[in-house]
Amino acid sequence: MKEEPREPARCRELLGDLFDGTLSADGRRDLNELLKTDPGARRYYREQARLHADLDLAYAGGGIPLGMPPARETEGSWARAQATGFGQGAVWKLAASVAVLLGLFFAFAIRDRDSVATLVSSEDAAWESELPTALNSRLKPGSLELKQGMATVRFDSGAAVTLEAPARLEILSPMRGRLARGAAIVEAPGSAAGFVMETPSSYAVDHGTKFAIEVSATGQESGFEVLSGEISVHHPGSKQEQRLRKNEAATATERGIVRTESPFTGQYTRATVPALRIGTGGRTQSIIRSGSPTALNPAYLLLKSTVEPENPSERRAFLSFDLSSVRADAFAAARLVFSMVPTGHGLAVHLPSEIRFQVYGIPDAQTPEWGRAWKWEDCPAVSDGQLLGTVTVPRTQQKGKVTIGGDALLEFLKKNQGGPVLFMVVRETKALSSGSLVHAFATDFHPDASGPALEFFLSPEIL
Amino acid sequence: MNPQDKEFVFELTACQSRLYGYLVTLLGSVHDARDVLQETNLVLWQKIQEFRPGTDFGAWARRCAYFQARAFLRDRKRDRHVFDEELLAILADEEAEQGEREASEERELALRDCLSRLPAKQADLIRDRYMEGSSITEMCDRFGKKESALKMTLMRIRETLLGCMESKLREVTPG
Repeated sequence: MKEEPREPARCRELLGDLFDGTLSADGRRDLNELLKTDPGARRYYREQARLHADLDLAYAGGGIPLGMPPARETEGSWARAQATGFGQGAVWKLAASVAVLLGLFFAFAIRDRDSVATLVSSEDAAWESELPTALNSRLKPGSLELKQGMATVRFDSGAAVTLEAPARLEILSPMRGRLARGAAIVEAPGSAAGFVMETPSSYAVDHGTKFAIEVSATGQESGFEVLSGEISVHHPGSKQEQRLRKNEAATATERGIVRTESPFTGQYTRATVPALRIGTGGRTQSIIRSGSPTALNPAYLLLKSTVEPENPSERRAFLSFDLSSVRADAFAAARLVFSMVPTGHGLAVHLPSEIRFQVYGIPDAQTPEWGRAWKWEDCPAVSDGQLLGTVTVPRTQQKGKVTIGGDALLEFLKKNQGGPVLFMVVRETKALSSGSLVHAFATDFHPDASGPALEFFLSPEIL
Repeated sequence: MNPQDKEFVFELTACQSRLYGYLVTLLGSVHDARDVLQETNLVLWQKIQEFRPGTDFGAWARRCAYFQARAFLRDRKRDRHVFDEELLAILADEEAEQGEREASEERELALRDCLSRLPAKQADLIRDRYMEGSSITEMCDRFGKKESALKMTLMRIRETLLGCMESKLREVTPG
């Protein structure tokens, strides 16, 4: 029988204040007293505290929650470690590797001098980026390519840029960004007045406002619309300048700036319908290093990798499309589309906060028979393939559409048109410890999600 | 890396979430717990020579974390921390009596499952509070609720989650 708090209402109130950050000085005194004298209250507190920690880890474990002061700089900790006489030879090397592991586990934000922005939110986001894409990552100057979903980057000046996929944002400084393509909403508080958002042909100076901006895939046209406040749009090529107020819009082209009547329409970012879409026809296969057939399931393309080399639980997957009646060279773009599905195997907590998948094209591949168990050693290895693309998702994402495309994929398809093409998918990101999540993409045999597809487009704008 | 070092790294990595939960319980604050966890990790590395493979790493790490938490309270001004040292000692004793709790993996699975069963509005509130780190004032504005009502709702959601997790974890470890 559980021991209950003597004053349940008061106990709940104080703990609510504690966990929601509203505990007053008096409340703190009362809570100390209550917990010291009432074992029932302590029992209730311990359960709640553990849940509070679990929730914090589940949601914010990949980074520092917003509003939290920056964590101590790692270098500082090292300096102290050295000052205390710790840091020689093998021990030092070990400590460094532990630091890497723990750093990945908690991803404590390091507010180094080079970072100029923070990734503050992302919804259903998939990235192709050299910059980190985990929530709350500190961002140095560089570019971010949002392939799917929405995400907000807050520059250190206070300007927040919310991107809608597909979009490419270049981070230049705390006061300057560049939207290379796609759509974004820029919101600049007073502290960020003067924030500049460049586009390929023009730039907008923010005078404390909120505005929408959209750049065509070719970069030739940029649309601006002010939602509140005022901006000025500049066109260096023609030295033109336009001031836009609320609900006013303009389009900048290579020639200059034109005022537009129509409101912001999302014309460049409307989803493009593929001209041709083909499936695998059931030609999908996962392999596991241990060879255990019970660890595989035809409904999934299973993916797992660990830091330990040749781990028996490592899994990768193959899929094939029949291009015998497809003229790949008639298309301007192509992409592979997968549906991520949860497997229920393992935990994401053992993984770094970002997960990267790679797709390799295997030229002239001989495969064992589809639908039969494949042996690891009989299958093509990474070294037999040609890297065609990568996609990065947060470790917590186990559902949703994932796409991989680009010039390398289209070139591979053109070169191999007229017959079957074989792809291998691997999870490049390795687990930090055992029991890690097994990722999966659905195959045609999955009861709910759609199997992999290869989509071709007549216009390159989709990528 | 020799096998002993390798095991140390494995154990240290594997115990992080449990150690974090332990420190949150002792200190009543996730922010303080993170600070002390970093200090604790540093001390554990320094004491790597004392580590004997096959011994109870978790118990050793918790003892070390307790001393770090105590030092943390002593270093800080009285009004800057939630609990005093006396309460810290009582809570640590009870945690020690309780011993190692369920594997953190099981807890995480149970939590995920229970979160997925929350009605959408409740899930939004919890996500906003923990993922976005929103303050109660911000949330009151966003959700159009009064502070007292919002806090009561959050506490109810936590209780629902606790009840759900308890039954999930009982399924995993009967008896």
